[in-house]
Amino acid sequence: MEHRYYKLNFQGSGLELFRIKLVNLILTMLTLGLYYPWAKAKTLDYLYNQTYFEDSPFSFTGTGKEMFKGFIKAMLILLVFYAALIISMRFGEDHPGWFLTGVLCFYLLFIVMMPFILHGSYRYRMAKSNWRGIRFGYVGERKVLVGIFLKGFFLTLITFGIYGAWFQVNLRRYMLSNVRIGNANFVYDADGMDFFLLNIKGYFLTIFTLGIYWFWWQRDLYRFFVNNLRLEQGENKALFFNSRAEAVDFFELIVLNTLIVFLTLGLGTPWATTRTLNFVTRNMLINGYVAFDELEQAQEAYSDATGEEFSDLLDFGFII
Amino acid sequence: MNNSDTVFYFDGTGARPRPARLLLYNGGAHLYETGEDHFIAAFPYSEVHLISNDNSYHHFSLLPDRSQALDVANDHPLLPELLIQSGKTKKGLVKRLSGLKLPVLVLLVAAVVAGLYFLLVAGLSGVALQLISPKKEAELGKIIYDNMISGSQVDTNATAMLTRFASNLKLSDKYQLQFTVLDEDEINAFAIPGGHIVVYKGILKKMQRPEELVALLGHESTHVNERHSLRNMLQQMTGGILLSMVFGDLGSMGSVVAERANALQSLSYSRGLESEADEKGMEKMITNHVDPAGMVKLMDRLKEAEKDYHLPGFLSSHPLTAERKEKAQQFVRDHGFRAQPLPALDKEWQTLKAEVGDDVPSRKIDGDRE
Repeated sequence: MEHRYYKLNFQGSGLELFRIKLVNLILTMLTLGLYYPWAKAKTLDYLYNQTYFEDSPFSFTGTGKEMFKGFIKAMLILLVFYAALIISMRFGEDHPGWFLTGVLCFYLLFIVMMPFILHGSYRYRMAKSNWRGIRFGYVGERKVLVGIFLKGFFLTLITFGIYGAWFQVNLRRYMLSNVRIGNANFVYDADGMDFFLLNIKGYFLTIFTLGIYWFWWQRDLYRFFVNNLRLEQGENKALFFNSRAEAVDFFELIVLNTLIVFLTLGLGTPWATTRTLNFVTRNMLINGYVAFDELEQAQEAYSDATGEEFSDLLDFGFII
Repeated sequence: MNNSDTVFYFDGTGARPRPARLLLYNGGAHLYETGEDHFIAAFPYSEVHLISNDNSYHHFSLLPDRSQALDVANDHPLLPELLIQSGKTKKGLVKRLSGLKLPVLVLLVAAVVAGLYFLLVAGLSGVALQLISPKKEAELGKIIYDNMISGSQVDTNATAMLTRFASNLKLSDKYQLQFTVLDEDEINAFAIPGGHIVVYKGILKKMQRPEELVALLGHESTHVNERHSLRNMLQQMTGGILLSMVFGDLGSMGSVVAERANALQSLSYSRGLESEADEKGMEKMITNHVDPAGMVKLMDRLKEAEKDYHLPGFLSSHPLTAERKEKAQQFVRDHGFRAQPLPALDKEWQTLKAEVGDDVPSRKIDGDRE
């Protein structure tokens, strides 16, 4: 079996993304916001298409129509929630106990909803990502994710945030290890303790060095994310990911991006986006051996974008 | 066969590229095995969609769900035709907009923003203004009034006297005006939606003639009658919503820009409202048989106060005092007014003035203070 390097690169241009954003802006305004899901599809389409693995581009096959439906469903669910909250507040004017229970239930419901949203969002986004026509897929079980989430949330709460490091790693491990491309599967193998120590070290050294260490902290976080990831195919084929970004690279990326966005009053954001994607792909060293020619279509299609749009409505980031 | 004639087909079952021959006919792309005439698959042009291109290949997706793909070398003889044919289909609004030159696109964005801004600010805030009844306005005004007054000391005697002074004037048909004097040395006064007019003692001390006070009350009551504060609030809100929608999409810095732009715009708007209040206030003076020259004097007082405090003129919500004075003088010239005695008003003025005291003579007594 030959061991070799694999090529990952992003070749999108800020100018082209800027044009896309302008067109999106015009249509979003003229439709008073209803165009938003289509605008999102256009943007993702461009960013995926300009990302190449082994000289073949990725593609995003989600459509504005699917996401619009998801958006409406998510909106309706949210409306029901708020209606329930308002009713309980009205009702609670005379019964303070009821009022408190209502508000508490509302927050609890939101927390319980989160893993459902994450699950739905991952399923949709993965099923709509493909490379050479081969779909990605997320095969995690909702029940398990809800369990990990609620347990992690509870323990984080009673340890005053300390368990947060383990919580985050457990969540990532479960979700990323259930991502597939065709018949190959990703594995995320990280330890909560390592993550905790990394953050403690980063936090205190950043304070002691008056912020300078922050760039090293970012390097370590990215490394922790990338280096613990691998792609496996069958019994004995695997591909390893390694970060080669150094603190100085993060310094250049973050400082320049901030300046670009700041000095252009936000208009330069598309350039910051393309610079970031370029940075992420350029600094990911991929080696090992997976026979991509033997990759087979294995993941089912899935088109319900409710979770995806819910996470947009609540402004979750996509990557956990 | 030349190498660049071979295309690579991904059939959606695996990621292995399958070399093929491409032929274009019958409104679609047809794929054949290389070397033989064995047919593989055909796709109408509407299902062939350019994804991207790099140094060596143009990448297409196939089928409506894009589950298959095709790589065509940049120097493939049929590539130009395939690009034309696959690009032809569906010439929608999005495609047409995307095809515009960048400067045109930027101008278009600006035009749409400006148009929507105008529609929302003028239209929506106008509708909202109609929907809010004077009664609701008074309720809202009460809350604002209580809030603004809470930290200040009300001079109850002066308040009663000012109320008696104003009872000699016709200032508003629609609103029940209520007056308050605050025991503070600020040279200022303001009106709150629904009918509260608040005057600082500082400005009363500066005044020398009852006409000046009438000018001030005329100005502030116009704010109430014309619902200026409400208009200002509504247009700031609607404008803010739209601009943050636009710039929010471009990035976080954008919302700051939006806020500033909106603030500047509403500044010029409120300056317009101030000019209107000046003019209608002076008209009110005439209907009350009070000499509008009182407005000119009031402006002189403000100018004196500005000398003392160096108020910033630029970016203040009122137009420059000098400008306002000129307009007032113009108004006085245009409306020939014959002053007549107003004994009731004079009497109330004397009482009020005796209560609040006088600030100006100090200049005469120790004029060499500086």
